[in-house]
Amino acid sequence: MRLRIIAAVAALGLAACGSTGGSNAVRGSGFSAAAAGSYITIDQAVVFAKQIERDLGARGARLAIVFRAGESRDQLREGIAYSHGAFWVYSPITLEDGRTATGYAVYNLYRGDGKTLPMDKSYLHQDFPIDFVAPTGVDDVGIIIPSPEMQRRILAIMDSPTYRALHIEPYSVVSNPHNAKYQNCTEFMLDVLAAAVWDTTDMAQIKVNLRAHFKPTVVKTSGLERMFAPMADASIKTDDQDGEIVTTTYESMAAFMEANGLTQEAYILQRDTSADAPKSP
Amino acid sequence: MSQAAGAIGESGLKAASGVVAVPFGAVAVASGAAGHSANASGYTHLGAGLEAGAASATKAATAFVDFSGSPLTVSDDIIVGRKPTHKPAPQAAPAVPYAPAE
Repeated sequence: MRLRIIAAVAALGLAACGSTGGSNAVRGSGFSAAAAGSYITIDQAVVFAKQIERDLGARGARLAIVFRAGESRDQLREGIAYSHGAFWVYSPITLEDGRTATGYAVYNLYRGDGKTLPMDKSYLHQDFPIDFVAPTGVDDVGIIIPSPEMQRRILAIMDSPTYRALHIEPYSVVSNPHNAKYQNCTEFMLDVLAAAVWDTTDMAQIKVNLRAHFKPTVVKTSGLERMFAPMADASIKTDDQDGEIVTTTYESMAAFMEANGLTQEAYILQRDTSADAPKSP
Repeated sequence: MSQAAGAIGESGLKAASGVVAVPFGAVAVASGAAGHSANASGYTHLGAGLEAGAASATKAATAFVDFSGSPLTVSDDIIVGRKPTHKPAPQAAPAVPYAPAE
């Protein structure tokens, strides 16, 4: 039975949203595991982070929605390519030496690390592209660049108390975007997006709108998984679901935005591996 | 120092800690959006997001933001953040006047 429970947890562990430390800080769960035993080296992560920034810069993106996989793809459920997403905002950044650099700041919803914050809670945190990229378990990221008007609207929300008000602290790895009981990183971005689309700060209205217009990704699970996974991992809740488990992913967000004319473009960016050191035999 | 900074330091690469000055105020002004405004320093606090303190904030907040899609310059710096803290620090001991000011 224990093995079954572990399998259930592993199966549902598909959208960890990262944390910034703690015992679960492996791959998809924060930077702390990236320096040792991660999929890419820190040197490669630096290059990949700059590659993404330059790609966004070349496309003139003031704001982009970027997704990473914190684990290898074979550990993710079918039809789900990424496990964490965040807003990337083009910004002037004042360095310690007084210089001003330009690049992207990353605005995340992170899951608690189980030490300083329970794993079934989340918090908002800004960091930088290297923090986002280093835990990757694959050689690509998913990117959605909203239309210029949507970029403007989302940035305006980020400049207002609404941004914080849209954060729901109770966290579930597979939160249902059609209700407001729990939230994960992707659902938070979806809620911000919805607030921008419909020009409302009313969460009840946002959820009604999303139920009418947003088709979430179905997470293929068995009854056993749905029953035991929440018992084995505090960050997995299923009591916000009606029947099948649904959640927000790169795929469902991109589909929604493209279908409603909200994107400039959505694409997969492959890591440039041409500068990688040869692997030792 | 963040964990990212530590890892980068060990790798021999040079990292710089950065403070973000997002020109949100300019976004709101340029868009004509109502109800959104930056505070006096040019920063607003987004959850635990934006970090205040950069001298360039006001300048950034008054910069014109266009959404033309023109290419944007990205610096070469490897920028790392500060290690986040979730627990709020205690505020000063209570110091509330007994009676309302006249």
